[in-house]
Amino acid sequence: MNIQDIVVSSRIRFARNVNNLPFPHLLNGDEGKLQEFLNTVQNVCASKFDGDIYTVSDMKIGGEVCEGADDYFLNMLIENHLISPSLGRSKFGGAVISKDRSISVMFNEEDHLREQCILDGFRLREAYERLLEIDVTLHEKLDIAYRKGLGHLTACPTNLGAGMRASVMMFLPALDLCGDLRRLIKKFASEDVTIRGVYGEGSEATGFMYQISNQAAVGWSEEQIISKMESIVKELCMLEEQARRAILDRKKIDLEDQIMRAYGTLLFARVLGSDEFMINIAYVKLGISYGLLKLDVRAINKLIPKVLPYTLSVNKGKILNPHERDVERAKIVRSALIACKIQ
Amino acid sequence: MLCELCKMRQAEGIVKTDEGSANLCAVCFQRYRMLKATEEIEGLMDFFSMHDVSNALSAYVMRNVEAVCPACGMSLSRLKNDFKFGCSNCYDFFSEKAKEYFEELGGQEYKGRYFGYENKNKPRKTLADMTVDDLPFLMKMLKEAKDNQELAKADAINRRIKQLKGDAQ
Repeated sequence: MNIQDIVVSSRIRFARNVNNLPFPHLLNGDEGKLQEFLNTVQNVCASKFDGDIYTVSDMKIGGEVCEGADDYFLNMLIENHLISPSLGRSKFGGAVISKDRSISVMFNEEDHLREQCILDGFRLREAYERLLEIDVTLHEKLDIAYRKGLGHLTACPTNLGAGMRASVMMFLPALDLCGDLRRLIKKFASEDVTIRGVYGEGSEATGFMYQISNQAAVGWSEEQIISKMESIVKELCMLEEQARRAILDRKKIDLEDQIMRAYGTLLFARVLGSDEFMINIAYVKLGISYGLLKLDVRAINKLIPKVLPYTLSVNKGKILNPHERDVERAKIVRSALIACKIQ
Repeated sequence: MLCELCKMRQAEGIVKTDEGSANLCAVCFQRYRMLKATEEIEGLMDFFSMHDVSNALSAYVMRNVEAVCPACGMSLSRLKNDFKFGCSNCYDFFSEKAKEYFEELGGQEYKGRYFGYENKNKPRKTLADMTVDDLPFLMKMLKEAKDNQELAKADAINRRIKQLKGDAQ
């Protein structure tokens, strides 16, 4: 079983608050402590990683894209999971994002701090340890709200305790096509683990991509959360492998046809819509796992965020209309597929 | 506009007073109402016993004044409605509600990683008290001790790490 074919990325997030400062939803902006808090966060982040700081208004102006591209930069950060959609609604929010985009520290989202580390593949522990370095320093420099027994205090009581969420993004085409996923969603919900679309609560699964994360884990230790998630991810990987074999046994030629058509579309299309890309790339990835296509799956995983709607415009440095985006996407995908061929 | 009384929080409404009107925040508004209630009841003190006055005051407060967190102005009704606390102090001020939510969410006491920084004046956890959950923190301490050439300290930390890893297996 190749877990790395199925698990696209791993993410750890900590929710933290400080004492003597209203939680973000009650902030007025004139609290003297607010600036002091923001300066400390900025200094700690600067000492721990090479990153850029953006306030929500910076993100909304979209100065890095071009004039008039309001919200483009903000939406690009959201579609790349570097900030949450709710940060965009925060009056005094912002984020410090590392240059390699593996770490982001959001401030004044639902809690004063939302620290997160995203790594490629199945590397929950590594993400946890990397984030811990920043978290320990933030604890040293800030008066973090904590109560014995309750753990870290958060605006919403469901995050009490470790204030930690572990999530992995998984590629589960066979379980989805077999229809087994609905049963598994119910089963894992009873164990406080959710399976949902890649953009979190309420979002659809695009290209068979699912986000698996721990839900209310009040009282759980960090080790318990990570161990639980690891065992569920391994179980899902095993079930996905079984489902892939079952699908291949049942309708080999139809599946091969679909995979090759998808590859052909991506390789030759001159105009490629976002949904069309997502579904076809999913079949190409499935083809790689069956050994039908000799392509580098990691390169494919890196290609996906590059052709997301807002990212295309931001990288191009100008506002692209939907048709221009589809043309640009087709061009990038063609050259990427040629470049990631394994000889 | 800032509250004309505390000059700290945002004003949320205008209150008519004997001297005119004032823009007040939610916290100062509640205090003002409390003061008015006390004034009204003080007028009755010549005619009734202290016990009667005290009961009347309690009843008035229960009817008219909702408790708000003195640090952030969060009220109990808003907490119930939003399912969000207003600040860390709310967890003490609305401790009954916090306990209720905690029980609803499983009521399991948090025994995870202990930072030991929540009160910087208290001594931190000793090496002997550290558990498997503290291993990443211990690894960091070990690196720092080695970088600072504190060999005895590094040796003690290393021994504790080995012991905990042994226990975990």
